[in-house]
Amino acid sequence: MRIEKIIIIFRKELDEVVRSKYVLFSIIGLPLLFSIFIPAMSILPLMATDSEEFESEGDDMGFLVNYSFTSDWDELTELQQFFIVMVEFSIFIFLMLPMILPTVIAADSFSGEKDRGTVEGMVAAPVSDTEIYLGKISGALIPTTFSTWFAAIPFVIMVNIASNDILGRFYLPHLKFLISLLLMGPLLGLASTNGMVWVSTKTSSSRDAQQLGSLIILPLMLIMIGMFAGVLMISSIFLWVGVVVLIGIDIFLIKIGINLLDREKWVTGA
Amino acid sequence: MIKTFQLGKVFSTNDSIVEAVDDLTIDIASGSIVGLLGPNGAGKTTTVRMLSTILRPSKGGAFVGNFDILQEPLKVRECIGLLTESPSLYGRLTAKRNLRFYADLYGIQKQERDDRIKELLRNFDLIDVIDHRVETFSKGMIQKLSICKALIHDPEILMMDEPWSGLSPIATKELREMIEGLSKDHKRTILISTHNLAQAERLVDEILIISKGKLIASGTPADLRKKFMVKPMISITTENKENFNDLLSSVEFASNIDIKPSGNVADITINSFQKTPDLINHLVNQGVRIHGVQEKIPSLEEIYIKLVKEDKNEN
Repeated sequence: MRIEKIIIIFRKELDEVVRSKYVLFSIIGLPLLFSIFIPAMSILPLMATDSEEFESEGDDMGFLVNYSFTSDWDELTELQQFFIVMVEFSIFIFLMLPMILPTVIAADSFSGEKDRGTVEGMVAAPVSDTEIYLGKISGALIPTTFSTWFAAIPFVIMVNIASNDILGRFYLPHLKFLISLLLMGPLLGLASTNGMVWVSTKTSSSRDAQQLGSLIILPLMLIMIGMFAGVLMISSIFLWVGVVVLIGIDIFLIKIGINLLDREKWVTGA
Repeated sequence: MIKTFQLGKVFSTNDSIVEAVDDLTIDIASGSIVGLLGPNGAGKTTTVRMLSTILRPSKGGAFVGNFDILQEPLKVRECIGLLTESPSLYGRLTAKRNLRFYADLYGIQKQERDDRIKELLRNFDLIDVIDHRVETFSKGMIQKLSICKALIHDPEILMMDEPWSGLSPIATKELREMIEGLSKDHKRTILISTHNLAQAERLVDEILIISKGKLIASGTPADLRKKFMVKPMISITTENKENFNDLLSSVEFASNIDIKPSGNVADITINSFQKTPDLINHLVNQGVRIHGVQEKIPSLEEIYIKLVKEDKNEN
């Protein structure tokens, strides 16, 4: 395996991404939209809420006791607890985005080459299956990971503006947020990209691949539903375990993906 | 050098098994230009794909540039330039970026790469659009850029699938001259898979005709003419048109008389060219004033059609 060949393919993939308005919007516009829209709609309005009014409104906030996101949880007001729960749930988008975004590129990356008839040129060049696979995976994963990190900046700023007002201190970034953003997100992205590539090499067009590939995010949706139902708590320990498990899954998926990359099927579609 | 030994490829689907190439044994000498001819579905593209290591043979094997296609595929890929039927170019990228990508994959150094890109684009009149996206190019421009891509690493062996597709007559001539130059001046081995028999006839040293995956004829164009010529044919041009057909029909050894619409030109099949003076004497004695007599040599197209039809009938 030659790293320089992987980088050459990665740079070509990146060049294609930045020259497509549709893909560019998907990977830069959407994360920004989410990271600004969610705190603007659910977190910032809490700044205008009076703590006593919040408690006397009569809404049942009993579910808040189920969560204990900070060591001083019991000493916090309901508004403060509610604010923290909202922030913690919002952090989930930084696990979801890196999982969804690379699949947009990955579907186009393999099936698209088949659609546009460019695949033969690449497989006839002196590059191995592993180099093609890793170059293409990087081309889907790296730009979307960076765009997610970039989108986290306005999110953190908005959350901290609100937390400074509500908690009297900056709430983000904390350890769980950093693990989610810097480790868990990219690892989930790598898993979903591998899944998408597998789907992509099995389908006849990038459209089919995108439609089938949307199934890949289903497991994450289940975790999200579980979280909201209060069944599952994403703690630091859970995240660290998740990171270790995901590293194993990713290594396994990459190995499988390389073995499943069948040049013949990719070129002939048969 | 390209050598194949009982090369074969079978495609199997849920419904059927297709033998695309069967028992193909060929030997192409270094520095020669060889035309691979055959009807649609004959196995030309499959053969080129196997030789360029894109497809793995189901049986047999091959050496391309002294490398075994099964044991050393990366080395084979390094020494060949491949012009594919569908252009392997990225529409969103510029001409320069496309060529840079392939040059980098072939490990060409930066300075050499940039010089080579400019040289090729200049040779193919694409230098003015070097920074234009390929998706804005015409079909002919795309084909020319695909040829630049195949030549970017100055390959020892060039394999071209339908190289004249989409090219104007001027570009066709330029490409033909370029291929001739590569063979004569640089001793490159060139395999051309094509339907364009006229261009193939003018260019190639040797022809391989395949049908239904099997090699049905091979040799130089001259060899094939000699080998597969049915009967000698002559063309006679006369001054007068009257009774021309009747006069020819009365000749015992003349057959397949084809009078052209002008009425004073006829193509005639005769037993042998030795009979030509007898035919002329006969016509002159009948008062025909003859303007010209020409021995007709069958074109490659005629031989090709005959061979493919025969093969079809046999099967």
